[in-house]
Amino acid sequence: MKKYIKLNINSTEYELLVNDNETLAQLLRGPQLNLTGTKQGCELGDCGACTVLMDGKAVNSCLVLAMQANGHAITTIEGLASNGKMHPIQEAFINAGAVQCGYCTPGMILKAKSLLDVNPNPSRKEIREAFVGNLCRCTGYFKIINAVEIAAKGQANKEAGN
Amino acid sequence: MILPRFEFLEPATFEEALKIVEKNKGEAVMMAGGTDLLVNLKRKVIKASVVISLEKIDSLKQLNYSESAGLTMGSMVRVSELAETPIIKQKFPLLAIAASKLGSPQIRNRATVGGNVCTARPAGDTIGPLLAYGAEVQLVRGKESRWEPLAKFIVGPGKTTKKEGEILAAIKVKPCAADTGYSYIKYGIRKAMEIAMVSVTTNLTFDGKKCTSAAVVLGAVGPVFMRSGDAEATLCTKEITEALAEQAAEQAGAFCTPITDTRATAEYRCDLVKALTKRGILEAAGKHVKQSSSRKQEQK
Repeated sequence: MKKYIKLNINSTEYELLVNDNETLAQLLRGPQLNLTGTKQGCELGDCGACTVLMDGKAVNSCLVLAMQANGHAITTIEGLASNGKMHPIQEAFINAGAVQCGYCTPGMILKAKSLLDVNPNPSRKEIREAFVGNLCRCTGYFKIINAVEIAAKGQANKEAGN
Repeated sequence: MILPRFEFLEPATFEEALKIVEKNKGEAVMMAGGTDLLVNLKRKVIKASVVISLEKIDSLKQLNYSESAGLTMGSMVRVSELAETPIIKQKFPLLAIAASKLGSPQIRNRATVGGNVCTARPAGDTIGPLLAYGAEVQLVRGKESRWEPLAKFIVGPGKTTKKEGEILAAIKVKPCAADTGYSYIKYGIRKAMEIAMVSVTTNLTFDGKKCTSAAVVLGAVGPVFMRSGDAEATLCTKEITEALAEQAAEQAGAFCTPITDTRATAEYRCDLVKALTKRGILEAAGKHVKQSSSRKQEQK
């Protein structure tokens, strides 16, 4: 059975018709929204490629039903850039060379955002622990961790007015 | 991976949920966080024509603590909340530590304590600490409500005494004794996204230097979590020494009944139980010593 849900995606309100057995990942990537920046990897909650923010918290969108997103705010990778300018975390990933094949990158960047939102100055250990649910088969993680450090320092400098 | 077709229902109140569950008996499964259920539905391990989510029921998300009654939490309290709530960290540290080791942050943001308990896996992360604290669970069906010790609620891998139509509403943990030492060891090949090969939860209560009561809970070494009564009896009313810890660990090793599977052989698991129980007891006793000494410093 199909039902209408109302939700906020990347600061825009939507009313969408969704199936009972449709996941949030499928809804985001589907024809209604076409937000294909969210990637589907294992689809079982192990790889973290489909990570999005639900009310600011990182979740695997393959393990949330579209109907459960009713009334919630979702942030996908498409929602990070503003006025044509990339988010500092996105820039840091590029500058650190943390993107290789790119498949894990949207999930990594959103997980990084959820970490830096609550812990603006994480240690390397804290960064590594934050990423336990995000697999990357290219980079070996070092450059990803470097990127998060760069983004955190950038934020700190900005706040200090440098 | 496509989910099979089902009807998705989201009751807004507990009363409505009870009615819907009763009405859909035999066809429905209940969904808490869904981190396990959706995987099993995708893999077609579980089949259901109706999925009833408890997510919209606010009364199941309450978390209350008082010095007299202890901790009462609704079944829909998220695992991330267990790991982060200050009162749980302070009063029930084993629960907070174990919760912080479950799955990944993304999983913990969805998974719930009620889901973890009802899934009843022999390696379920929150179950060891809840058993060590002597938790009880509340099951409600229609107008009937019953409380059952968690140790009796879980009867086999994935099996509980939860009857058709019953909803796990709350989990209650009595207040902890003031002078305790604790240790939670989850042993696996990697630290992240891991299912325990063996877990050992130790909670010791002290009167001065003497251990007055002990909980030694072994996970993933039997069809259900096991409390090693022999090991606990060995520790009681004595001062914890390395020799005593070793004796209790030997008893725990002899008591457990693990199986050989892809993660480890039964023999290896028995050896792990011995090594980790000893380590857990000494760690718990060590924390107690530190606590006592820090308290003395405070008094000075």
